[in-house]
Amino acid sequence: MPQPTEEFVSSYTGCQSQLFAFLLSLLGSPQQAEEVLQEANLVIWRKSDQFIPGTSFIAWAISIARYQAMAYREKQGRDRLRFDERATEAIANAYAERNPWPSDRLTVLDQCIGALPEPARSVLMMRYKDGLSPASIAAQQGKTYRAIVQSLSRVRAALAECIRSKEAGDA
Amino acid sequence: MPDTPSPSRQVDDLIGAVLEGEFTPSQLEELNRLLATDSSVVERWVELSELHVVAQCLLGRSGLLAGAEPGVAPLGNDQAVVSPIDGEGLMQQLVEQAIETRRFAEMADQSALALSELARLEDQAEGMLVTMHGTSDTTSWGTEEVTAQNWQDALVYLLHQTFTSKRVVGLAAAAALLLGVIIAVALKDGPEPEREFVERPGQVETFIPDAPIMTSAVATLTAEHDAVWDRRPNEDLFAGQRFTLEKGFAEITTRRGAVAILEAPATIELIDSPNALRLHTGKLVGICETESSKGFLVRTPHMDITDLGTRFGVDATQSEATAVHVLEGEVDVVGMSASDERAAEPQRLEAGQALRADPIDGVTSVGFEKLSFVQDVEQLSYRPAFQGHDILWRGQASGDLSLDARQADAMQVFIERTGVRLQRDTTVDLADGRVWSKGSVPGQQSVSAGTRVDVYLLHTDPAASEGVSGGYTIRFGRPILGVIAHQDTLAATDATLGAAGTTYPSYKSYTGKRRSVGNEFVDAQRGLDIGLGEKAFFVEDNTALQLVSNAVGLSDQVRVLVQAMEEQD
Repeated sequence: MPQPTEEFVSSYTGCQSQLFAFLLSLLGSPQQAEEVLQEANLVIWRKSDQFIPGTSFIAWAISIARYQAMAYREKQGRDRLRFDERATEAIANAYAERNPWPSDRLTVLDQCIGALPEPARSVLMMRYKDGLSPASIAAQQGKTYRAIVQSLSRVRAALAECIRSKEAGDA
Repeated sequence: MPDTPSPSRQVDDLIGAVLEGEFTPSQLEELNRLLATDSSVVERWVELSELHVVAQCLLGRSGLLAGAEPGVAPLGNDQAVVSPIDGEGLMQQLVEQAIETRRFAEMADQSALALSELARLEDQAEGMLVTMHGTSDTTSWGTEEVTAQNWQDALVYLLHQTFTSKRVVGLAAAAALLLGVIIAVALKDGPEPEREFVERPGQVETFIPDAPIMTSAVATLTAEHDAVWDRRPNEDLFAGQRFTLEKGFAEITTRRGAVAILEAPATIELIDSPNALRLHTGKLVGICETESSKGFLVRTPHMDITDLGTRFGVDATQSEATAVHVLEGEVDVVGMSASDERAAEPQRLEAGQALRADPIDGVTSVGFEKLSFVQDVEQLSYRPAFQGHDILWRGQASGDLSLDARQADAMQVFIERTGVRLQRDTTVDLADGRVWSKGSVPGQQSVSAGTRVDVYLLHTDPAASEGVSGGYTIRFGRPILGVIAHQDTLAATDATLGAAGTTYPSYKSYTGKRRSVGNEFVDAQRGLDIGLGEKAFFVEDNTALQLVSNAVGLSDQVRVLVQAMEEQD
């Protein structure tokens, strides 16, 4: 195998979070997404000589990851991904066209998290910092599972709005 | 992006439910339809799912953000100064630098990769022969066998070579190259014991990014007993690692302090959380005795169990169903059936309750079984080996051991005391390899004062009407010094050799009770019944006890004095 170019290595390391998010979209389970990401990475690395410089690396990588996800499901004895063909296609296209997170957006996200009101912030921290499941958070807070899933959904929406408005303000 | 209208809350909630993995078939169908027909929903899905992952990485310090800052230059060699002797220190330093400088986006993934591989390779590297050529300014490595002792040095040497050789296209390539080499060698076990590695990057054919996400250990292996693993874990356990305990017991403590006792055969997987793990198959006891460990989550194929500060046993030995038994306190259980909406709500279980979950019947109540869970790995070193009918190891004797208190259709073996030095000559019913059977006279032998003994209690208290009878061999692995099989001798030694704080049957509790053996009714006795075919005798150079017992309705007990483990070499 020829030595991958510097550009390839940079693109490869640069797309990991997108690939993971994409696989999580298709598979639902972070553990499964990790497993398939590892398999997809292996294929991406092995096929590095097939990547055509100048074309979209992420689109190429997404297509490999998508195939690996389908193969994984078949291996698991399940005939399809949780989304149907059309939905999967739409998601794959959207990821393929998406740019990686710009570095300053991390700072913006940090600020937005800091600006969250307290109950929302603590649910967010329990979910992401402590890695607790919604069921576990529900048990700790004496709330229903659905209430926590809904709170998390609202917090993510608020963060998305916050990022959007801050980036619009800076523009 | 600035002028995108805010998508409806309903769509957000739908996406949220699917992102968290708990949704009904109708919710999934609706999302499928929207994704296929509405590009704004697709955009929203991508935006929120990406935020979901980025938040995990940012807040949880995991490594998947690699490359989120594409403009950041690779680390210079000055930042990658390699100590030739401290592999873990180097990796830790890289991780810390990365976090401090906010370059974790670039580095953490590779550092995590390296750290996890360090852990994973420890046993794999042992015994392999790697030939490495080349020298550097600070260290050299000729031809040397990589062993469990020196593999870190070998890895560091390779790191150093990679960083200083000017062939580096970035840290990612360095780590990939390096690990590719190591893994390629590690995977090469068996037919080709020697493999020559010549440092030409182009020859590296395999890169396996087999990496857990987290940069720090999520749990620790804290105790083992007779453990045999498919591949031996290190003390520190990382998210993404998966192990099968083929034999014995192991105790794992999460970063938050929850304890999981694993009984073989069992397969576990560490997940990206400081207080959770996944049990693929096998038996596990979860213990949360500290405030910080509350909320300990055990994921199984059929249910999620959240410990609310308590003890519970999980039985996932059957592939078609998983059961949870609450030993103390409370747990919340969520069944895994996505098609059953009711299962998405946690069910709270209290001590003495048990639930079973399977894909067909969903979550159903089952009979509580406390006794089949081992709750203390340290005590397992005292566990004898068993042969014969059902025998259960109960660990430290405590609580109520009187009639009907610990019923089970099996012989139960407790350790009562360890390392006791006998204050006086102690009367026993059986010593020196003799046989206790019909016609034996109790209390004719003794164990000398000053002897140090471990004291066991064999306890049979049947739950089923047909009782528990049969032959057992109990192998202690060290000499048995005396056996107490008669109720009077038992009563005489309860205070000195019994476990503190334990209630033993009083003579009164048995007086007047009758038990049936075959067609006969006979007076009940706590010990072995002379003349009813119950027997005890020493075998295997006095290191094992063979026992024939017929316990029907009432309890049989035998106390065994074994040479103290501490006195052995």
